[in-house]
Amino acid sequence: MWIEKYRPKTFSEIKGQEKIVSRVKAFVESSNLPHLMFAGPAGVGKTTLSLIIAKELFGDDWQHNFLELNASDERGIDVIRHKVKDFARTKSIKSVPFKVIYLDECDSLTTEAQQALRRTMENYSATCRFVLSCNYSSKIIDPIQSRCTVFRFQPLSQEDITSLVKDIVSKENMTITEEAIQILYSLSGGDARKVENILQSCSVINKEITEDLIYEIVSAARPKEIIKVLELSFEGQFIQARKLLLDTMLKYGLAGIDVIKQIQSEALHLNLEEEKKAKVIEKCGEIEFRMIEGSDEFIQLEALIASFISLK
Amino acid sequence: MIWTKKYAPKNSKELVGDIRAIMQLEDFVINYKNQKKKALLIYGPTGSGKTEAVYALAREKDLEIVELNASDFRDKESILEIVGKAINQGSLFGNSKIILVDEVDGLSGMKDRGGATALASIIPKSSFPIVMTANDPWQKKLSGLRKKSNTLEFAALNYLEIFKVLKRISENENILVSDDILKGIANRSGGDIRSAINDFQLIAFGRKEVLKEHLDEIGERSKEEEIYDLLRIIFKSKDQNLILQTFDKTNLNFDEVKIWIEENIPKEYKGIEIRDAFDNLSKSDVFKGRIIRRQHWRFLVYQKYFMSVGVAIAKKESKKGFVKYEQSTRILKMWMAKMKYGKKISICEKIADNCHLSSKKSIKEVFPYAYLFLKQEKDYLDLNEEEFDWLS
Repeated sequence: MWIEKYRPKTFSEIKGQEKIVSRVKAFVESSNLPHLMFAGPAGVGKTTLSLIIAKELFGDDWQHNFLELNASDERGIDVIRHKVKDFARTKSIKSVPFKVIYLDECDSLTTEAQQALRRTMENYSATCRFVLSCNYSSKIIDPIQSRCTVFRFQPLSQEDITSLVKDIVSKENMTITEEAIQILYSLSGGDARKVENILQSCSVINKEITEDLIYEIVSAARPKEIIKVLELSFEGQFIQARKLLLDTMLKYGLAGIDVIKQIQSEALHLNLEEEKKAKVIEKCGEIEFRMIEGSDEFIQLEALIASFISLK
Repeated sequence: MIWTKKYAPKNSKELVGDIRAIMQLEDFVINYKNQKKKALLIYGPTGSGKTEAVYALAREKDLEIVELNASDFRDKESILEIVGKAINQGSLFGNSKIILVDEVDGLSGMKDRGGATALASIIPKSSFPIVMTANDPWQKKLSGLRKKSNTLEFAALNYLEIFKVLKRISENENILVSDDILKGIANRSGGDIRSAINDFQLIAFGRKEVLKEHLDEIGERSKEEEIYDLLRIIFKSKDQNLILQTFDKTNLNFDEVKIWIEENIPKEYKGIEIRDAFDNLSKSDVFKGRIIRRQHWRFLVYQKYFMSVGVAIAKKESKKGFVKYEQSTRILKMWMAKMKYGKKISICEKIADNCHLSSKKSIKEVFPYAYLFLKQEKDYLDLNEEEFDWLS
């Protein structure tokens, strides 16, 4: 997996986030770490930086002194608490007086679970430092934020992505056009993990990467059938539209939210009057909200495509 | 002999279902002296094995059971009389005992007046474990009992566990039946093992071999007729009172009715009628979601209103003529796809283990861009043959 093969292993290898890296490095060099919170979008280095912190602090012993947990996979806060308890029971081996616990995707915890997490942090703060990561710090309760030094990660810049791509391409004996790099950057939105996965997919098909190849790979992640579903619903062919929608979702394993995202982002390119595009987007927003509140994604999507019936 | 009795588990080893819950129940009874709260309220869907777990535990540990179920009077006096006595007396044969109050959410307002309060008041004094069962423990009338009790959830049984039980029965009874049919019975029971065993006994009665067509005999027919009637009223009428009354009378499961309505809206309606009907069905579903998340059951009123009247008033004029309503295949298709996508999930879990990610993220963010090259990572991800084949 290139996302592991090319994961930076030292502070200096990290692309972007210069200010954050230099401050964290200073903490690590003084062997004095506050609780940290890393906020930012996917694929910008939150987990990578945490792993490097552990490796720099504990050297070869890092795996004994570093606990990685994922809030969205662990079944509830109780499981997290138990694991933290077991981990914190033994002392850290090295000269460092604490162990490090990395808790990823904290924003998937409910407010109640975050309250419990706060107490856990307090109970073990003598022996453990917590590094919490999340997409949006606004989803984390204030008492936790106030106990942490918060760092906000930015998407990687075009320069960072370009240098990452050139690195990998040359190490893998591939070639890539400048246009392809440009496209890769704009499609990824500065997400290094996405870039690396797309590159590795390209490598299976052709060692010479062009714009077209990248489009081919990315569009497979956004099935064309969804556009067809839209066309059918505009024409009032509701039964056919929903059948194709269901089959497409099942074929590609799409969740309801994936479908809405795609419709919303493609609405602008539809052959429609401007006011009607706005109606489509408005409906997407309304249905996305109802989907979060509701219980049956497909009913919500049917309501969405049914709302397009009278649009054209 | 009724199979549900004949094949009832004889000890806790034979129990199927929520192992974690069963162990916690055992822990509560055995370490009863150390419990702060003197009663245990176990809840879960019908047929998830709540009562059976208590009985199996009693058989295994040789405990007497004092049971009070919904068929007994359970007003204040009877509770104090039966339970009140039992909590202090030594057992008849000197054994210890469990006091089981079955279906405690069925305590009815009038007939069992004061029952729940009386029960709550004697719990702290009990010297024997009191175990209560309920389908819906969040009812307001149980709030006093909840405070005095530990609660324990029994999850609905997985269809495969039910299948295993049916399989064992079929072997024991020498009935020739394919695994697919047994799985079908298990699956349609919706996690209710009692109804699955009953269904199986019904179609196996007097037969040596059970075939696919025999499956149709299981109570589906009359249910379908009831659904047709309901759909006719929703799609043909605009009389709100009539619609709501019919809806209130039915014993059909709302989720099932919803799927039928969903499937047949475009068969009756045209154009913007479809739009408005689905808009209301979508609103109904929002209330369903809120009920699940907040356990605020009053929202049921709105869930029902929007899926029935809401859909009915979306039509411009009353529909005439006969329409043959059809059953939706959506749930079945989704279920089959889920089985198929089991491999995708297990692959994504392996990506998660190896790449510092959650499995959710590897499904959403990695797999769509990575499925082309995952075969090459067979060794790195330790994919098994089945997963490898699935990727081709």
